[in-house]
Amino acid sequence: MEFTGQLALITDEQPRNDVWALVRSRTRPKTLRPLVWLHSLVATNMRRAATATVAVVLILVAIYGVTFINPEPSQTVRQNVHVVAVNTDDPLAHHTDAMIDYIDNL
Amino acid sequence: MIPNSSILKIWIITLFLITGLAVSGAAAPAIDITPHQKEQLKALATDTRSKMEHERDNLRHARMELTQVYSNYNIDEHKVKALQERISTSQLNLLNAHLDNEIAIRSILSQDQFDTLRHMINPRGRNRRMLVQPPVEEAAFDHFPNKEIFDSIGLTPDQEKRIAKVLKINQNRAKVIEKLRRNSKQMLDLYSNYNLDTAAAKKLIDSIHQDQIAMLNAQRNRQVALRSVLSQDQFQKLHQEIAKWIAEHRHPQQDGDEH
Repeated sequence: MEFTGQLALITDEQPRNDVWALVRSRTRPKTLRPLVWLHSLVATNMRRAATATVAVVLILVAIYGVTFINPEPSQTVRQNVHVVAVNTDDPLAHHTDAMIDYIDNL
Repeated sequence: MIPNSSILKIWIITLFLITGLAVSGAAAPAIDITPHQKEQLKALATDTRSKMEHERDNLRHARMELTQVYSNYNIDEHKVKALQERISTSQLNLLNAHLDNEIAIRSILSQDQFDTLRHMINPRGRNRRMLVQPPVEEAAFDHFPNKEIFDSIGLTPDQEKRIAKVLKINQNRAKVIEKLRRNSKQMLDLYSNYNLDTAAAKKLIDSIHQDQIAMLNAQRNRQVALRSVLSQDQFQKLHQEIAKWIAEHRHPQQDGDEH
């Protein structure tokens, strides 16, 4: 009887109901994942083509940068002066010869 | 229906073609000229090349003959004078041929076209240094005689002193070469402008030609001076050493046998 009385003194605690946590997890807005979205939306070949396009555009931008945008040459580069060897008999030969060669290749 | 893989392949090939065109276009942008201008330029190039080759052949042969004359201990003054005249005339004709070519180019191209052409030919602009070299027969004397050769020739102390004076002629020649280099550089600067100052160009041609004549005279003076110091035997030994040096350093284009 004593034991029964002690049991009766213990607070009646029910296990926590987790049904709402489950509901929240199911109804929570999903994180936006563009790659997953793209994967499901576009065919694999089209995605590869898009990747190739982006790669080519990047290469073109790099070539443009190297070819057309001339940064200020450093002091080291300035010192690398191109030397042209000419003969006293015809000191302007290299100039006219270069011009003729260029015209030949037009 | 074309399969997706084929579309992908075509697309990638097209991209590579576009890339290739872009790269080649960036590497060598062509000068924008009409077909008629192109025809005129080609004709001018052919004419100029023909004139130049003719004068350079003349000059090369005259140089070789002069070297031959100077290889004898007894100098034939008449031959020397005639050959100097031939060399000098070819040098002047070449300078004038360059100027004629520059004037003709400007009569064919507009300023923009000329500037593009100039950039294509010389993208480095003025960032170049001219190294003016005398003909190889002349350059040999910058290396001879040296101490080793002095000993092999068997020079007396007095001869060595007198040879030092002959070497001083070389120092004078270095000054002439430097002047010629400056004038040539100035001439190239003139040629880089579309509005060519023809009078200034002619004046510079005259100055460059005077330097060339001065070099020919310096060469003759040195040859005479060498003979005044060396005996015939010593001269022959020196000449053999110089001939050996020239054979080692002669550029194929300067060799008359190439033609």
